[in-house]
Amino acid sequence: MNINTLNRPIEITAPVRSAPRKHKRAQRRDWRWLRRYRGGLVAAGLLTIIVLLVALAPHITPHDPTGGMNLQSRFIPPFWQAGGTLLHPLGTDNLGRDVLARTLYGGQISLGVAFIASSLASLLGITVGVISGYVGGLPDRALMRLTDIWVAFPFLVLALAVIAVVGSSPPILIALMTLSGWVYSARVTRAQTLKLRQTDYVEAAVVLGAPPAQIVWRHIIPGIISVNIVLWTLTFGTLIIVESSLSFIGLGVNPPTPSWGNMLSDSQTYLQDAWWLSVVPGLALMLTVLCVNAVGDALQKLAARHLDA
Amino acid sequence: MLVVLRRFFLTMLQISLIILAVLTLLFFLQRLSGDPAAVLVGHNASPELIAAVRAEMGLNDPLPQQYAVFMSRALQLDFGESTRFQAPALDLVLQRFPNSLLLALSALALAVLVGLPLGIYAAIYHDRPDGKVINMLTGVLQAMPSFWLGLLLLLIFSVHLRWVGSVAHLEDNLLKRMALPTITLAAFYTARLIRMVRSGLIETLHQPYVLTAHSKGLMPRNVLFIHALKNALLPIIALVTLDLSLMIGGSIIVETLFSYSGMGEQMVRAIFNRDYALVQASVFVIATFVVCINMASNALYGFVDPRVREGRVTA
Repeated sequence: MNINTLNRPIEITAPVRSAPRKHKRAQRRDWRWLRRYRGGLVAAGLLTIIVLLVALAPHITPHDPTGGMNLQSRFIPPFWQAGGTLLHPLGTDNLGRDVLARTLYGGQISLGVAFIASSLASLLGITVGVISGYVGGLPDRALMRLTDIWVAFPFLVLALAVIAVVGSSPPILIALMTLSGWVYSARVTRAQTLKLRQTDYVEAAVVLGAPPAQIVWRHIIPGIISVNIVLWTLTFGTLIIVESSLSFIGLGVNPPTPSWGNMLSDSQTYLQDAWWLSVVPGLALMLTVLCVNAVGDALQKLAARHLDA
Repeated sequence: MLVVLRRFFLTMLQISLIILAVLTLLFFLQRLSGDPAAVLVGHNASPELIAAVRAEMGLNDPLPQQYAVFMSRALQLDFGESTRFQAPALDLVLQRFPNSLLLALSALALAVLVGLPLGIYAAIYHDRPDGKVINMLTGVLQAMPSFWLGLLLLLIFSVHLRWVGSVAHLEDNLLKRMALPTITLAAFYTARLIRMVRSGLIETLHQPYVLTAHSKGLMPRNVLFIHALKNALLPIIALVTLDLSLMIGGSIIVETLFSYSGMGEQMVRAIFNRDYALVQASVFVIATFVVCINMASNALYGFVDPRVREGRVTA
């Protein structure tokens, strides 16, 4: 599992400039350019479909993901195999529950937890990064030392130690995942803040006597948003895998609530009899992460180019 | 020389601080868990027995004193007995350590052996279809959680082809025991290595000194393997060392999936058994190992790239 794998290099190194309101024509140019990155667009489209399917699960499938056990209809294969039925298009599991329904509802948990955690991680990272970069001095050195240690720390082990004691529930998972994801955002935000502080318009604002809170809000925050959107995307993808990994070893989302991780965990026992139990949720998981990463990569290029222009 | 000594000292200080922080965290986590004595003897035990165990464990002492006792024991590498196995917890963890290390090292070796050549290939032919296919495949592998890849491998090689069993530690043949866990653990890092080598090499190949080397009339092969590759690989060497520590963490999942008898699998089972001594010892060993590897990796980075050492480029 790859909790510590959020060290995909983030390279948005173009010189930072103020972000004036874009001209209508410039906006159109952006779109034309984005079209060249078809991969990112296709991924964004697929991701939208996945999110819609997951969010609208009650309208798509009539089955109940947790109850609805029916031991007569156990291990029904997907509809295209002999013995399959369109009533359960992707088959049923060991307790006769509909796999499609469980995958869709499971996505709500998996994506929801990762979404909240990555957003909280971004907020925490931005706060720490801005304070560190703008205030400087001792707070800066202390906070950056902390991030050094944090990066060097085996996060999964820490998470397991906490879960061993306090048990696991979605709020605990969100807290732990937030703590695992904030560091990169903090570092990148700090670096960006340092650059922005030296720009003419920020110095002008300081000379004019604007209060620090106003400078940060009006002049620093807009300049760090794009970098953080890219980072948020990559964190989101990583945390989806983190959640599913924890659920997979039985220390994440607890059954009967479905999550992609614990569905895959259950499927281990029935590998021999029911291949679809391990393939369907895994495919959903991989497709989602693949799309999130592709969108992140495209956004990264977009942001770099935007800063270049 | 003085600089090197100072760096060494600072690194050791940092390692000790992190490990102290881990131990402190473990101590407070244990207090959080309610009554450790009740956990130890089971919640159905008589109140007298629980009280006796409390007194024996020193749980009636003031917290700072308990903390001091815990820390001094931990620093003497005494984490108490595993309630499940009736043996010193640390010994149990250290018995499993070589297995985990073997898994991580073989996965690392596989990742380098496959990732390096493929990365170079993908960089040289980055505008050809095969180069692009490699790049796309790495994207897929990176999005694939290790345990799902492992499940698919089990589905193919264990259920359908029946080449190996699904429980690693029951295999008597080392190759059969290691094959699937190693591939599963290595996949993500292989993909990442290919990407890093590819992007690093492409960037290096566009640098002016490579153009100079070409215009001097050097053989293209030499320009690539002697001039460009040397520079492109520098940062990657350190990152690969770092991977070793990530793999120790990642192997927890893989070991659990394949029932491979390593530290991680033992730790997960200890969590389910509420065997805190064993959990604590596991966390301590893994954390210490990972932190040391990370520091070694930092030092190595400074060693291979003098610009980093002199603080001109931040790693």
